[in-house]
Amino acid sequence: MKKNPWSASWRTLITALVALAFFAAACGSDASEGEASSEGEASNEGDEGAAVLRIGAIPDQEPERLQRTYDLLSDYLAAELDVTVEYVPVTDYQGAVTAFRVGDLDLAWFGGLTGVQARLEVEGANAIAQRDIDEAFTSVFIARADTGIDTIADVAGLSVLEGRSFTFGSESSTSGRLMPQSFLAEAGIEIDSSFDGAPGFSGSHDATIEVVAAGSFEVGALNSEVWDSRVEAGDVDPSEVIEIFRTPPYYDYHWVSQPELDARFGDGFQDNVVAALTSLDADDPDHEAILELFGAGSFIVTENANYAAIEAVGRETGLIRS
Amino acid sequence: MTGPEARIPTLSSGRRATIAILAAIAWAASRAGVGDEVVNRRGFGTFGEFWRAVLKPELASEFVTLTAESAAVTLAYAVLGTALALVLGVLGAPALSALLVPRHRALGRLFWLVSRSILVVPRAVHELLWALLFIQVLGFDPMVAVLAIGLPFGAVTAKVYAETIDEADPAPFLALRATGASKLAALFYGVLPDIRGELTSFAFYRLECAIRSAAILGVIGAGGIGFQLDLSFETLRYSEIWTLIAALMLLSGLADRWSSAVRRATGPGVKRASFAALAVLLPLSWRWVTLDPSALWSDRTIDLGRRLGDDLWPPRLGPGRWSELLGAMVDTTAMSLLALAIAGFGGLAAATAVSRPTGRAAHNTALGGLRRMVLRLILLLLRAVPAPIWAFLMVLVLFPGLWPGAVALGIYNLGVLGRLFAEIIEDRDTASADGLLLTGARGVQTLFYGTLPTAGPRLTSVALYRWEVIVRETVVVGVVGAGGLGQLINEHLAARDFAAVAGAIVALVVVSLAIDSISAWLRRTLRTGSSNGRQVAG
Repeated sequence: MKKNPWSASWRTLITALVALAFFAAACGSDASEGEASSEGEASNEGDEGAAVLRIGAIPDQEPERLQRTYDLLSDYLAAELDVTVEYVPVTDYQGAVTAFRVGDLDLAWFGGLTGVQARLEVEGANAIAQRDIDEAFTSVFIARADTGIDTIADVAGLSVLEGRSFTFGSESSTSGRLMPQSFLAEAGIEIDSSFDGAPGFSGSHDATIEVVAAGSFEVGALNSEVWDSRVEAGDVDPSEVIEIFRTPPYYDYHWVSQPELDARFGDGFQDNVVAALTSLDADDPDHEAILELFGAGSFIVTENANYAAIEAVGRETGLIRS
Repeated sequence: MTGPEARIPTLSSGRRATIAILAAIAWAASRAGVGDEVVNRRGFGTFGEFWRAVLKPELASEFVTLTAESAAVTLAYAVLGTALALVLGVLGAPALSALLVPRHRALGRLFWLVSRSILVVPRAVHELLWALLFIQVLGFDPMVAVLAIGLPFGAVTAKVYAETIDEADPAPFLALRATGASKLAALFYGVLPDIRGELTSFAFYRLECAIRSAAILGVIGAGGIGFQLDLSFETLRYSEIWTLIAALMLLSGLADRWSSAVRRATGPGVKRASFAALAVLLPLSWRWVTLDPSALWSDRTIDLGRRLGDDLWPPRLGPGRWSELLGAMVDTTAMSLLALAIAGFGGLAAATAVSRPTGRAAHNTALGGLRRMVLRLILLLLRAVPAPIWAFLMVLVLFPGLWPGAVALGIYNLGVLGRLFAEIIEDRDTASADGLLLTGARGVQTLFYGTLPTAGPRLTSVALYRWEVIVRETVVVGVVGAGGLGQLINEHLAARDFAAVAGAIVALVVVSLAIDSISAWLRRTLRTGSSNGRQVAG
């Protein structure tokens, strides 16, 4: 039986048939969807008036939460600006910068560092708006409760973290990496040599809370807004993880727009985008959910010059080199 | 096949090579660090949670549908990438063949040297890096995955096909040439009939590898099942992860079976049916991912391609200068050795346990059959889950450094090698093992005195070829801070420093080529150069 060449052929035939059946089934369900999307593309290219505004964001939070946030915002912007708005999800911070670089995103929600990186790669791109909290943003340092690390009073006090195991969030995060690294350096902590082992990069702010709570790392640094909202929602167990330090303020998240928005969508379009964002009102029940998901009271106007300090820190830490 | 006498190395050279390999592994372990700073006990809770979730995969119909659709995307990338690789391989092979472009003349030799060098780069750079570079030009387009798989696989295919042409009997080719036939006609009618089987085997082995590559590309955002795995992992939804893993195992298992069946088939029936199936899958895949090659020559692509070229060239050192780059090169070498040790020894143990008994040992029991099936499933699990996902898991219980990356690559490749080893052990000449069984030797003794001496040289050969693959794969675990050139490349990308990325890639190519030469030298020393090893591990 084993030496019979037919057994191998039968296996193959069955394999091939299963694969085919699988594909046929998959394609059957796709037919209508495929046509719909090709129609969408055709109208995008054919008619200037029905152009699609593609928005995206650095994935600093859980994908579902981002989807919820940007679905709501897309609907709002579509109604305000009278264009089709499409949210393009991206899986990592550098993916967002890349998507902006190649022009797949018209409007992107960046962190301080990624925003500067994106503007350096797309000449003429502009920082146009940010949240009220972004002009004085902070990071928090958190620790596992059983480490016995006390609350730290000032930046110099971060030196007690020498010899601890430590995790950042994403490599390209401003509040989860760049600024914490800069404050640590101020306190004399070098990330390559002062910690117990090399520092980790958890990937996102939520993941930082998770890995510190799980005990994989003793200390971590993350976005204070994410931390506050998780504490408020009761997602953090204070017997497991505690806040030990809050950094001095700096400029962080902001919207960056492509340079030729007015040319593509009509004169004054960029100003209209800014107006739409800044007129989101926490007292308006229709706007409340959007602002709450952004963790903001309102959006305010911003400009490139606000990020000169971030750019300088980026150059010091070697995260901006061009 | 030569007799066993010819394949058993002389003791001195074989022993020296073995000692050298063991010493290198010991050095790599000390470089990675041993003792307290390796295992992070506090992470076992989350790690255990992941494994417990295997019993409760997410079965909500919505998620199962999403899983099936993602699996189709991964399969489509693999099929399209393999198709591109075959086109490139078939076009490139004649140019690289000594039969068609004789090397005794200076011009032919120069041409061969130039084209061979050109092919070295696509092979030495991992699919993941190609994808990261193509994304900078094409954005998140399905063409990225197809090119990232098709280019390096195409280069390997061209090289292997050229070698296959050169190893065939040249007499019919020369006879046809003497009658005035053109080179291509002589190749087509004189050589091809003889080697068609080998070419087909390799084509379907590429498809099997392409499935695994497509899954890895998903992790960096190319879509498909790797992408969903990454999303579910980020939110720590272990139940979803197991559903996705089950789908990957199904896909990968079917592809492995298919590739094995083609490789072992004796008649033309299986191969014809397989090509027919591939011919049907190709247009379906094209449509499923809505492939649009016109993106390749759009103005935007040309403009962005030129910009990326300017950014990449000339390559330069990162802020850490030479010490950082050389340190990373050494780390990458150490990581690949540790991974190879885990994959090689683990794979051998696993293969011995799962291979179907042949010859006199073939007293098949139901319990033995069940045990083998479970072990085969575990091996499939190990190779179906992309290495970066294993690395995410490993950083829970191992401190950042070389170990999480080495262990992740090690267990992933254990899945690959375990299967290939089992095939070799099952196909081996069983006479010597049978002799031992007749004298009353037990299983383990049969392994050491019967199986290893006959299958050993081929096992070593396959393992050494795999080492070359593992070195290239070290970049895919760099994303989790696993150290070495992969992590360095990741840091340079985070700083958008493409010239330094290019510098690190050049360093990686240098390390890859050095290890290729060491591996080739070891294989020569152990006298194990078998074309079969090249075929399955290339």
